[in-house]
Amino acid sequence: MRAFTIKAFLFSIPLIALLISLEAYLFFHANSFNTKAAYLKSNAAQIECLFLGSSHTAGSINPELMTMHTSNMAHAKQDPQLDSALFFHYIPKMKNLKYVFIEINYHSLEFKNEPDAMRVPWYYRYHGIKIYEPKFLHRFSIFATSPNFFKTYIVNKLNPYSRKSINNKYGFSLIGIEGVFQELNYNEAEIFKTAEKRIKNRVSDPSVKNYSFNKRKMLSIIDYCLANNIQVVFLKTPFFTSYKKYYNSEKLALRDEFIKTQRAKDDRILLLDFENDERFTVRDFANDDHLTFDGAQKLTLLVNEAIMNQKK
Amino acid sequence: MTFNSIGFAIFLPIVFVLYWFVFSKSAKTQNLLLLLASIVFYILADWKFISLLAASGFINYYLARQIAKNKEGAARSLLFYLGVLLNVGVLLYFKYFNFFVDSFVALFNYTGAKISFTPFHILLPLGISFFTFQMIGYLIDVNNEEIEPSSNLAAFFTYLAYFPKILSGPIERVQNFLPQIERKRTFDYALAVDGMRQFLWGLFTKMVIANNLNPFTSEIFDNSESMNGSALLLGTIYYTVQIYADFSGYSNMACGVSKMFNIRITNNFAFPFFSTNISEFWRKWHISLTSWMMDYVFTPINFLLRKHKKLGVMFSVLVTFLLVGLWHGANWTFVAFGIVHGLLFIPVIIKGSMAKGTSVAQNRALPTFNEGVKMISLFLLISFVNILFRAENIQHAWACFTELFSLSLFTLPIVRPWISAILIVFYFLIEWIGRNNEYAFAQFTNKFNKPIRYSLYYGMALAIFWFGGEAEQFIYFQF
Repeated sequence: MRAFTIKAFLFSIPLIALLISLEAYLFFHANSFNTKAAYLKSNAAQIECLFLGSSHTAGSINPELMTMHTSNMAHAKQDPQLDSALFFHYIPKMKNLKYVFIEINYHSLEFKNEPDAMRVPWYYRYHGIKIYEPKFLHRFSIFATSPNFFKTYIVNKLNPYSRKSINNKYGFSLIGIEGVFQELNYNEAEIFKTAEKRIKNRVSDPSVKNYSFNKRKMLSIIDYCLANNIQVVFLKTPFFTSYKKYYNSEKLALRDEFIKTQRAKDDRILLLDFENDERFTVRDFANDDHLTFDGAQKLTLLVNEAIMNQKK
Repeated sequence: MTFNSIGFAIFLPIVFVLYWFVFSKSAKTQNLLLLLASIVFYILADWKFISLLAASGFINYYLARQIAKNKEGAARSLLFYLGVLLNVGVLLYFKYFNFFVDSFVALFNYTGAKISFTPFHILLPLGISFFTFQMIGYLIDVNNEEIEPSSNLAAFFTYLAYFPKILSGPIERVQNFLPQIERKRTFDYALAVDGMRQFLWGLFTKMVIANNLNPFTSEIFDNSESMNGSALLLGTIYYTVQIYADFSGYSNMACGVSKMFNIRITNNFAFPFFSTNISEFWRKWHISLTSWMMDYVFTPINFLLRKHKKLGVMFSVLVTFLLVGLWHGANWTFVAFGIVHGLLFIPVIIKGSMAKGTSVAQNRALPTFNEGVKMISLFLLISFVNILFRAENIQHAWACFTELFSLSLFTLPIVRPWISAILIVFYFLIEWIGRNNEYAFAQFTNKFNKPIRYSLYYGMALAIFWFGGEAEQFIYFQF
């Protein structure tokens, strides 16, 4: 019995060691999450511009090109609840904050992460933010939050032939995302032809519940900023026409109404609207709603210019 | 908590160490620990119905003792029928109430009456079909004086709630289980190692085979209206392998865990796809359910109808399989599934080969041509019937059948999961090679030396870890 127990324990050691090394790799290997967190933590006092939002902003604003000290804290699938949690977590340290950019795209007020969403526990691990009570295992293991996602991630990192993501010190990807538009050779006819398949499941009906919840979260940021003389900027990032074709008009109207109401309430709120900006051509897009690296450089410069002009 | 969860990887070693190092003094202490562990296990899986499980245990324990006390007369029959009715009633309420009422309403509405029914929100307690059948079998056996009722409440509850089998069986017989736990168990090294191997093999088939087939079968059946016949054919074959890998995987894990505690429970599968007729298939598929149905449904009916010879057998088989179908769930698809399987027995009954069909390719590496054709035909037949098992409703099943047997069967499938096809071939190859063992993987470990054995174990553990599909619930949990 003792021999069996010892043997079973010894047998499990290499497997446990493998799990620990994977976990350590994920924790210490630079990724956009820990790079952004590290930058913000060490530069919080100097940050003048803070960007919040989803992958649309995460992949569109390169803080390196901004004149002011900037942190882009947007991440893929980040909803207003997480925006708000991040904002209030770091705001006491951001003594020099002048601008807060809130992404207000088509989906922004409707998308809400469920408690079991893969990325939610990462905010707990990297920022100490708990919007839902994390599962016991997720408190200790990033790998356990989505084993299949991380298996692919690690294989990709270890594969010498795969396309590697390189982030700058701000956590911004210098290679952008690998999009379907390149695969389609930026052929607009093909892009429109295949758009429905890509987009139809992403354009859901409006959710009153999510809208009200997200609105409350956004308003909490806005109210705090206005009360503390921090400029609020609503940012609409560029969307390609193929996506806009599938917009739900009711949802769009709710979003536009929100912007209108907030700006009418306080004219200090600025709107930077690039949603239909024709300066962005098909080659600036990686897919229907995300920019390429070049597209992101273009948008960052335009945003920077707008802010600097406003400052004058 | 399920066998393929991280929680169980923590739970099992704790129970194992406590069982053999702390609670090993007597059968009583061992049972007490197993009972406590089983209660914790059930609560972690579905805390809402622990009281139902407890009530079922107390009532059946008491009724069985009362039945045995009243040797003859109306009181004994009354107690017996009361017990059976209570168990069936619980099952009917939780599992079939909405189905039956809904079906009656539909029937009335069909005749022109206008009745509406809002289904009740009834949650299905985990393992209810398994533990209720165990209890009914127990009462029947006590009533038939085949066994004495248990006089050890803790042992009886351990039998009822034993964690390796509570969620998905096997439907264990009391005469197999209780004698084992009424005596003190001593550690059996070889059995424990075998248990670990069997658990590993079960985990592999569940995680690597069943879970990796699931995305394709879901894609094919959830979008069946846009699938062609050949894709549906692939879907039916994949789904049949998926159910087998899923449920036999669970059963192997259950048997394996139990062996670690030196308790043997019924293995539910004996390589059913290597059968040459339907009767043999059912003797090897979900063995504990089939043998339960055979003893408590088929045999009594067949005995009553013995004068009608083959006609009586046919009727008994049909009734038995109707119940087998219904046991799986409250849906007309399961009723049809049972009836079709019952009908498949008719040629076998007419031929008089019900009890025939043992092991194929005995003492040979390969089956004969005749055996091969029979096995493949039977596999395909079972796969087609499994459309009823997978379909949402009869209309869905019918639509799948119509498309499957259309000309589109001869076109290239819309979905082509070829890597999974390789996985299936690899799985069946191992099953074939290891078919003379209790579980296939045993063949590969008993004959090799330590380095090869350990390489196999690690290889399998790594495959589970790396290639294990997204954690899916065990299919049979829904029953």
